[in-house]
Amino acid sequence: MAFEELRPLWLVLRREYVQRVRSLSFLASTVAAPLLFVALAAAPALFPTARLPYPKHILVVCSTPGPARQIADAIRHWGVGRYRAEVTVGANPQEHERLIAMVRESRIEGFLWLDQEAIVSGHVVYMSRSGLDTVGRESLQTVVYRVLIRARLIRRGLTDGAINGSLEPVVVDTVSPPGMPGGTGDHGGIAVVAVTVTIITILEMSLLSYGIIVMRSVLEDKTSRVVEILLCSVTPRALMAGKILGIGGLSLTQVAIWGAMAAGGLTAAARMVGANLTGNLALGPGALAMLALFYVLGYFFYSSLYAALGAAFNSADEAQYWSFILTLPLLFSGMAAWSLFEQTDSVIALVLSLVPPLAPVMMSMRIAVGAAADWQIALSLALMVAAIYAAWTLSAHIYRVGTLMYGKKPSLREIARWLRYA
Amino acid sequence: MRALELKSVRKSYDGVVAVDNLSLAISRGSIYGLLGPNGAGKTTALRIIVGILMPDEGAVRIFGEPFERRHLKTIGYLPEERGLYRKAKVVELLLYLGELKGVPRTTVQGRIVELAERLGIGAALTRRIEELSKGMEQKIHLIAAMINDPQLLILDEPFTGLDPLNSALVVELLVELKRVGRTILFSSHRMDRVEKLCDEICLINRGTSVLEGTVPELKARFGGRRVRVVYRGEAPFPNHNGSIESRTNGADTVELRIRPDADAQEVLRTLAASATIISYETVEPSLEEIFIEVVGT
Repeated sequence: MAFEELRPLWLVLRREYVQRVRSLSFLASTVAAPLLFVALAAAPALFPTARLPYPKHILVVCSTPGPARQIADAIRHWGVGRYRAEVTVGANPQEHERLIAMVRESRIEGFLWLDQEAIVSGHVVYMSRSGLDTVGRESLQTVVYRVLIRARLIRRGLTDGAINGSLEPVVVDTVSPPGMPGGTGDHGGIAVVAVTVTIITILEMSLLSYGIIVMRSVLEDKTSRVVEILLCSVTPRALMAGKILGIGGLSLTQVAIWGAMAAGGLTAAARMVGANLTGNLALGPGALAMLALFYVLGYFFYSSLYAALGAAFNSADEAQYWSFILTLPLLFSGMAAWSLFEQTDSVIALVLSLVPPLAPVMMSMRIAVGAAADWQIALSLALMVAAIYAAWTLSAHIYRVGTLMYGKKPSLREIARWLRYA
Repeated sequence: MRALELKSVRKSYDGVVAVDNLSLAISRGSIYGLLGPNGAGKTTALRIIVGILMPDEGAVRIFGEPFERRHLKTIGYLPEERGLYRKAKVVELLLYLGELKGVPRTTVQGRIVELAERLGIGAALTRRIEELSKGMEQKIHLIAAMINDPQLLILDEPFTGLDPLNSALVVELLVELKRVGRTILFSSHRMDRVEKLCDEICLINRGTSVLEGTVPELKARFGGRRVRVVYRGEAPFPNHNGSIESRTNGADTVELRIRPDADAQEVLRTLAASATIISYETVEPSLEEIFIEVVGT
């Protein structure tokens, strides 16, 4: 780019940044979007409570009161599935039929049938209208298991003290060597997952949304017909670069704010569960710089393609199909990052992190968990730079011609022909 | 010195020639009109002049030098396809456009106020573009084109959207610019404006120049074949030996277009034989008639 293009480029960059950073929509999306995201993520946890304004009523039926009471107490104590448990003694066929009728008539939610045979065989039936959710089933199974084990051990003559000692919970801590991700403490793995998921989500959302902002900015120039006035003062190349850099600066501002908010939130959450985030992650200054670099390169790659879309078409509606196509690699890399989260050292994870459209998310994920070797990062960077050069060259050609083309929606063949125009 | 020269400029898209072997020479301090029917290649030619498009062949010279982007600092351009950021404030947008032209911010500020006052829209500077009427928006475009005090002003259809009063205001401004030595090139379909304003014109059709010269030259070239007759007596007149090409009848007048090889005196004698001739005079063709005649053939 020639020296005399730099000042107009700077002016375009400054305008794109300043007018957008001062807008209400930026403030709203920067502050409200993460809060909305957290609210949406947390909302499902509130659904069962909302569905059940009062505890469900279940009966624990047993031939003898001891085990049934222990189970009812444990259910009350643990709040298993938010059930209110009552004990009924007398596990006989008539009672069984009566309870089935009560379930049918919705007078109770269900009943746990603990006759002598069930206690001996260890096969207990819980009959209800709607069954149990996964957590509820697991919890109920644990409660029943512990009570029946205790009953069996008592029958074999063990004392309460001996039984309690035997049933002491076992804690398994997952630790990694110092300096490796995963860290120490039982919440180290959770911290890595939380931080990495946060990074992937921010990267994916930001790359997607800011690519579309670049496209809309180019479309605004074109549809408002201001572009020809601008092109009389600034080259198409400098205009496109100014837009991409200005909006890129805006995205970095937002990502930095989101990152700070996420770091604050995660640190607070980590303190609550007793985890040490800084000790658990491979995110030193070097890794953070690499994440920022991959984000910036990813932004350049996608935004230059989105700029071409904005230049080629006459409205966001016309560009919608190709805009959707462009989102696919980002969506795919997000899904791949999730599914390969525990296989970050695998060949497929490595290959995907080298493919330029997928690298910003995939390589960031691997860097965050410390699974990327230096040579892999270097190779991925080199491929990204080459891909950006190709995308930029292609987009600059389309931009130069497309911004002055009004009228009917161009076909792919027409756009390909533009590449030959001077 | 010529303010602008185009030498054998050619531009095509996929085999469709938009501008073909076009040559122009515009004197400094003159007003030059570029005319032509829709799709003639006017806009492409203007885009080539301001460097938005590159010619396939030929050369553009600005003030005697081969065109370079630095020349754009001395050129103002009002495109036909024009618009502004709807949400932007007028003054902020003009500052932006002025700075893009390479003019220092403080100079641009003074220039904006001066031009806005001149065009009678000083109060609109603090408003948003979307709040302006179409006429006011047109004036903002004119200010944007003149923000860098250009030596060469290129205007593509500058009168679009302006009412007669505002058109007259713009004409006055252009004449004043010419008086202080600025060169103006504009394209327009408003032949009356072109006729009154332009020192020279070029008529292009299908990308190539079909007519060029000063307005009096062109009128002289196409004049002499049109006569207006005021008469008393019988009408219509007979088509004397096929020497009359066409006629336009009025109440007591008729305008005749006679063939190039016909003798006007002989025509007069024939007319006098069938009616009393009150007056018989040659009429200069209007630019519009020349336009229709040239483009229509």
